[in-house]
Amino acid sequence: MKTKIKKDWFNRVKSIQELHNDSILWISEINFINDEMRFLEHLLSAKYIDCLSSGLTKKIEISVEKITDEKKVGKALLQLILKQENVLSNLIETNSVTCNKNFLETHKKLEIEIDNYVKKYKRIKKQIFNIIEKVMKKKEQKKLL
Amino acid sequence: MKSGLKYTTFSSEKSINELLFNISIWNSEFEFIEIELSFLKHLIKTYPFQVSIPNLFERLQLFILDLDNLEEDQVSIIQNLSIQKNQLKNKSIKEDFNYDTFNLKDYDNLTEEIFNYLVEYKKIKIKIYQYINGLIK
Repeated sequence: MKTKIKKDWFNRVKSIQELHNDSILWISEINFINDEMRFLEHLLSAKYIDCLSSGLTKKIEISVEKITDEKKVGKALLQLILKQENVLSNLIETNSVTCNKNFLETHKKLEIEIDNYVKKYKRIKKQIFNIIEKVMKKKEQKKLL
Repeated sequence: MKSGLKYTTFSSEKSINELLFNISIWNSEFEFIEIELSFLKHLIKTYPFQVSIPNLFERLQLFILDLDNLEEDQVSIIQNLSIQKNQLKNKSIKEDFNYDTFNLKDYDNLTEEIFNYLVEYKKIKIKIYQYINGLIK
């Protein structure tokens, strides 16, 4: 099932606490994804995966490249979130968060970018799951022969 | 992994449509978790880890148990999401529906349960990754 983040937050303005909470959750999610990607990279590079005999060389290469790209995107998104958090702190001091359209628009755009990032990462993970499952199946079949 | 995340609810500020939209996001999340749990269990059961590692079998069995528990909770959460979705839909079409007096307690309880589940799920995954990372050559 596909769900797209609504650009307009259903016509309401988020509170300062909710805006800050968004950032905390995003940072945690991106950091977790980064840790998980390291594990998946290691798994794909294992001798057991043995690309040549499994005939999955190209698919494994593509997955590793995609992870490398995703890491870069994650890093860039983290920077943007931290920047947005700094702006939020400044706006809180001047008591002008909810009236600052530019800030709120940036937050909405960031939310959409992070949603796309997480969705793309899940697609890559599914591809990696398929590769590993195929390898395990082949190895099991070989054992039985 | 210390998540440091704290549950906070913003449900009372949301419209029925937004609450329903959140349910659709969680449904999608838990559909993915179902696939992932199945993969992780298969990986732990099938991967040829070095048998000479002390307590290997016991540790792997404990991970399988953790994943089984997560699977059970995942099924229960999906069922509760469906119940909440129907309740919200039914209430929203009633003529005398008043959003101000609408009780969000059940919805918030489920939101908190989902939040805690996702925190726990990530903790267990990190524990598994850390343990088997060194065993994969």
